[in-house]
Amino acid sequence: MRAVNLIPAEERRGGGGSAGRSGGGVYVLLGALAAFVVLAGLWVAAGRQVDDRARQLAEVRTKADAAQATADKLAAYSRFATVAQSRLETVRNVAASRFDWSHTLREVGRVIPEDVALESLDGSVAPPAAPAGDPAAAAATPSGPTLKIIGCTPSEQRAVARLMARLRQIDGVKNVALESSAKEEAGAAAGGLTSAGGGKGCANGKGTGAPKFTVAVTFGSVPVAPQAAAPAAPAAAASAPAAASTATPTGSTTP
Amino acid sequence: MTTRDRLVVLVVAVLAACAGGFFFLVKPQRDDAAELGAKLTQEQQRLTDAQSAATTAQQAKASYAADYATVARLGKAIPADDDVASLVYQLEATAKRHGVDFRSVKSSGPAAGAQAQAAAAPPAAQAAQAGADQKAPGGDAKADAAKPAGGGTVPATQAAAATAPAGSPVGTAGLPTLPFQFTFAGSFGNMRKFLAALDDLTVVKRGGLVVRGRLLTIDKVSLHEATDGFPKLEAAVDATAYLVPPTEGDTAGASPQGPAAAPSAPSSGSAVPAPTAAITGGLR
Repeated sequence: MRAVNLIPAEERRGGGGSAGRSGGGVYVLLGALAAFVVLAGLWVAAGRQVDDRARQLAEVRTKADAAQATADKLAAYSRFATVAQSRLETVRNVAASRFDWSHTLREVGRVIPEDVALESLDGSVAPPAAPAGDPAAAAATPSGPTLKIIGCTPSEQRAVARLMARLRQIDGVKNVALESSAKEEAGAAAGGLTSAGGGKGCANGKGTGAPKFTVAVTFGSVPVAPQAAAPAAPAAAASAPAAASTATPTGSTTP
Repeated sequence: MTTRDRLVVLVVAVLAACAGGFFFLVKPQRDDAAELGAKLTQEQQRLTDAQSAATTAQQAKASYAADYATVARLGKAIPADDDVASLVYQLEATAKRHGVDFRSVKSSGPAAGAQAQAAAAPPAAQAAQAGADQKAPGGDAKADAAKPAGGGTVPATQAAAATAPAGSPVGTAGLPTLPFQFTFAGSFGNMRKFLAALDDLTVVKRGGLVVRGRLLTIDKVSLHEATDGFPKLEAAVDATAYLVPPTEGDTAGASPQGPAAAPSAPSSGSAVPAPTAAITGGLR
């Protein structure tokens, strides 16, 4: 015999199941409501953010325009200050990087031995051009100021050696090289630029030849102010290797 | 349609509505906010830059008198033109003070060479040259030749300026160089003091710049026995003088009342103005 439930379906206990009588529709509606609330919150927050930023943007624009107008109005003063500063720096750097010829000549006069007279002295700040295509010769080319000293001595060759040793004591000297030293006929060399003997020349009175010499003195690079080399053009820097060097001949430059 | 089916349709509809609301309402607002944020950052940067420029300009205005005085004083060291007359006067006075005889001065600037070439050229060539100058002010081959290779400025050092072609712009200020050759006669000691005095015309002392006369860098010194005999020597001196850029002038167009309203227009070339004199022979 088959059992039959005579209670109407809507009256039965738990008749809607876990979803209730709406079949879960109420939960969906609640979820939808929550989602709409969240969306509305996001929309309102974004709208406020837009308004705030638009207001800030307008304020900042106004301030920036005002500051720009002030800057534009006074731009001529800025330009002139830049011109003045750049001129001052350039003049200062050039003046500070000069080779001190006076000090060098004083040092030369101080170290020349009594029995040596100078006939000529040629100095140059610009280093001689390096031979093209010869790396070894280029490496040997001095990078700093050079002095070429021609002189003579009534003494023997050892006076030339003594002169070279003394020349090395000059401030900032990097190298002293002897180009030549040869005895000449008596009386061939006379006079001179400077000598402890008061320019009495190289005649030694013995009828023997007095050595005439040529000595090349190389100084360390002329010091460069740090900011001076900054705008160097490549070609200019290549033509002036001394500018990039930091070696400083102490005491041989303008204070 | 069963209850479950209706439920599924309802859920899908709600999800679709949420997605639509997000993409059509919230997201555009957020995009607008992000765009405004980016613009705000840009404007704030512009504001910072403008405020910085305004502050700098105000400081420049406050220090204008001092800057003008500096530029005016520097005019003694770096004049607007070669100003040979003043240079000769300064050298003569300095030489006399140190017992040195100022024998000769010769300018070997690029303008001198250009003048010599122009003088030697036939009139037609001169006319063509003048026409070329008018057509292409910046394309003067001679002016280009005077510039350092690469077209940049030479570092503000004696060594760099000594090796650069005449007229090369030196340092950040772009001061054109003007080489001179001088001859002096005197004793070794006097010559030494005289060379020191030449440096002292414009010298850095205790970090400051003291300007008494022209800025000269002595590039070469050649001492030989003078014709009068020892102890008198003859000194051949190669020196470089510096000028202010021709486009700026002495004070860059400024006056004691205020600076020039607009930047100076570039001139037709960077050639150094021609020397007004070339003196040889004894100056007593």
